[in-house]
Amino acid sequence: MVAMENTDSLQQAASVSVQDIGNLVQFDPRPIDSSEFKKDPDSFLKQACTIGTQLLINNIFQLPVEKIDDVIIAKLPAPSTTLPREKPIPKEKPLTKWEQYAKLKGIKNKKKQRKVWDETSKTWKPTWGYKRINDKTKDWLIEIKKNEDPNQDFFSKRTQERNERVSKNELQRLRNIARSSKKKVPGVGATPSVLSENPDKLKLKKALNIAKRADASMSKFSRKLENEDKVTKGLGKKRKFESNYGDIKNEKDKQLKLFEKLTSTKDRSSKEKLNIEKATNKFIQSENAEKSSGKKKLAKRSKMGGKNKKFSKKK
Amino acid sequence: MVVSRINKPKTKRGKRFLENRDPKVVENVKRAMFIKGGRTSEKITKTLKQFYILKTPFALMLSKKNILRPFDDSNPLEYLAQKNDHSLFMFGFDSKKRPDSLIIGRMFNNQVLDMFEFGIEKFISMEDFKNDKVTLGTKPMLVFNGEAFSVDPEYIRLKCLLTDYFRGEVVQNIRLQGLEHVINFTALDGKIYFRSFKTVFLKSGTKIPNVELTEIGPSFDFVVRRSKLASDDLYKKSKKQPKEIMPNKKKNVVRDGLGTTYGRIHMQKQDLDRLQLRKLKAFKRKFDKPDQNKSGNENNKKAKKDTVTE
Repeated sequence: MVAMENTDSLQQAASVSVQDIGNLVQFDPRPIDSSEFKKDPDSFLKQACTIGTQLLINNIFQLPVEKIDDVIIAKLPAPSTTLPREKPIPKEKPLTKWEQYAKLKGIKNKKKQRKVWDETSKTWKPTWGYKRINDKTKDWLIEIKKNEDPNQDFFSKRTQERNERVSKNELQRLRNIARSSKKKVPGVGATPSVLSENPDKLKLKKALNIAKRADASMSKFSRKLENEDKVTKGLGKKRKFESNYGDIKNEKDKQLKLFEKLTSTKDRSSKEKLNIEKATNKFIQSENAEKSSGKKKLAKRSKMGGKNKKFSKKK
Repeated sequence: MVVSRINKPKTKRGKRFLENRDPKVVENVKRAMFIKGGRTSEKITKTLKQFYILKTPFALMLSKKNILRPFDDSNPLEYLAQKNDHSLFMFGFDSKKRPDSLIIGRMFNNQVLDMFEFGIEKFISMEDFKNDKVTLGTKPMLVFNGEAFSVDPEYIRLKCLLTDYFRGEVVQNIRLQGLEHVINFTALDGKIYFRSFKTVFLKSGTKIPNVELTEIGPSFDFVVRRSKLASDDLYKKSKKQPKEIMPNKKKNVVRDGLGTTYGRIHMQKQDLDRLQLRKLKAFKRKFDKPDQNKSGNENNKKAKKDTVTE
């Protein structure tokens, strides 16, 4: 009788329960009868848990099994519920400046052998590191070149040079980190002040123009920015003035060209066009004004000076 | 994948240690730390110890007192988590206002994701059940009961947290005889009942055994007090999985509800002009050579177009 009840409740639970076998989780979402629960909480919980466990076991024991050393092992599927991660997804390591350059140029590292045969000692020696082959620091003699000062300490000079290389490398490493973390990277040597102070559109343009020509090819082979030509157009050009003793022919041509531009009927949209209608209106108006006030004639004329010429440009 | 540090580790061992703490595609098992508050009752101390035993070997008991108020200021807690590299925590304290309190929570990126405060109403320790216990560190089965775990958003999150807390290692293979530990959570009327059982497999005559349970403890009756859930934004972020472990999507393969697999294949249009039929003199190409070539080309073009539209 008890067994019958059990199978009934098992089937009921199985129809509604949710399982995540990968995590060995079983969940029965049915509401709990609280009056039933209060009669004997502990046995109620045990009963409910037994049903849940039985359902889980039923499914786990049906998984494909393997026998390794008399031990039966079931293959669990991957967990179906995604739980929050502990740490964010790892990011790709940013390339160092050298790695970027090497990638651009297609330079690949040659794999060096870890150990090399040393003819002098007749042993295998590491290519680099402790007890390496060709260890220059172990030399007890240094050959001095002709043009070098023989009185200096060449051994200390060597260590000093090495220390400098090490610190340069360290600096470059830090700069790489700073660059990849998008922090401001201090430049080596004099940095253009245009960017450090209040950045300004014109300053930026000027800086770009200077930087553009700062490589060996005078920007011939350097990569161009988008719209670079448009932005830096006219920058870096010197102003040119006509010579005081200009030749008359040239000047005449220029004036004629200007006149032609003003009078030509071809290009109506031009800003420097002569608006005949407006000009005549103005002319008539000024004539009328002259007639009406003969007294102020002189004063007005003087005021009209250069600005209000009889033929004015349309603005 | 390596985090670039300003201070380089000085030894290889130190480097390995730090690399182990870096974000990974397949993560380490989440470890839990157990913290005593400024004032703890005997009940709380014992409770922490019980959970510590349940969680070993992925557990750490902090021996000193830590006066923390995780709901008011989670920074010191986050500092401890970051220092010990433990993303799960259990904090026990006792106060007049909140007697016998236990805070369970988890972190993401050393930030508190969600935490729940429980009051302990009833507590029976493992030692009070005089019977055989399960092997230390076995992966438990987790059985959840109660409507609230599927209805109430707070309880849904709690279920997720408890699964995360107690599931232990994610494994691909499991020894069937090793399935000996069951942890049961029941939600009823604002209370969570925590029970722990050992399984006994009885022969049933089939491949699947009948399960019988014996309670091994500890057992708790918790009252749910305060809770702090992560914002949807952070929660979503924490649940994001790396591409590397996402299963590859298979293109053009569909499965219907009955379990039948359908594949979609793309074919070029058949060129019927070039079909090899019975050899007859009338079909020979040399009779209408120029015409044949033209039509053949056209057909080819057509076929190409078709594949594009498909």
